[in-house]
Amino acid sequence: MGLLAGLFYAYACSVMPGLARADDRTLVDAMQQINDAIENPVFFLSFLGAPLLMLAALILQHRAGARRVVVWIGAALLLYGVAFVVTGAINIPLNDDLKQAGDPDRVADLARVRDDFYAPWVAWNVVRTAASIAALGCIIYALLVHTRAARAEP
Amino acid sequence: MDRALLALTFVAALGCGLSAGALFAFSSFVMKALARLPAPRGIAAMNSINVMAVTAAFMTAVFGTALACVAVTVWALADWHDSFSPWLLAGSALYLAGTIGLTMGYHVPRNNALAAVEPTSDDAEAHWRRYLAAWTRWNHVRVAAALAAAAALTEGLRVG
Repeated sequence: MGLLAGLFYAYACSVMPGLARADDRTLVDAMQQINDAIENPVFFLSFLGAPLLMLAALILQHRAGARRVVVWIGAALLLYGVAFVVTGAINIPLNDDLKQAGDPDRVADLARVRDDFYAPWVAWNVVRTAASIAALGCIIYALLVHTRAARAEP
Repeated sequence: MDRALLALTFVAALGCGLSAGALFAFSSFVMKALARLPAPRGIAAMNSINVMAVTAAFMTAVFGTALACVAVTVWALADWHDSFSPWLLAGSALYLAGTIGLTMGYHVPRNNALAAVEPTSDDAEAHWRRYLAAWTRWNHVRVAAALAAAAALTEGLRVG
């Protein structure tokens, strides 16, 4: 049961970074402030806690020899990994560029700063959101496979 | 569990998780960021968010999930003798009452009131501070309800 709780919690958290970001696109004006405010413990707990819990579930299931469950948890981890890599390789550098531009009141070509940031950020945000939702689907499915396998054993 | 109900509950659980995530953004960092902006800019940004939230993708996620929850509720009541039914009913009710109910009954009226505030007027700052504090507090409740709904629906899938 502890394992199930772990699976369960991981899935609940894995989606958070997903849409947590999709809404940001409406906030370009406030984006610099948001990028600063996002660095808080509650957010990082879910963003980093989810993959750690999935990894723990993966190891426990692997030891238990539940191959089909391992495959689905692995798929969830891989999909979450996509979201994680996109964040690190694309969104964070774009956020840093935006920060480098400095105080919006003093930027000469604000429209250009906005254009450079907005379109690629939003496009890649769709990718990481989709990957997070798919990861959530896989982890719920892993739980179903696990339960059915447990029930099939007398 | 019937295959159609399984699919419906799966979609509802995903939708509840997704909604929890969207609202979690506001609880964990968006409102904090807006609070740091000068009041007129914060009000303008929040009003812009409230207008832009009415997009096809976002409305489908929030109200499509609500529809799925209504269907799950009806099904659970019709098949009340099954072990998963209480979980499905609890999950759907949490989302419909906690998340959708609060949104329509609490947050939307306050968003409309904020939209009517002139950002540069004298009492705008005080209105904005009150809005921020109360809106965010009740948003935590929306997040908790959506998260608990996702958990209950998933538990329903598991015991089904």
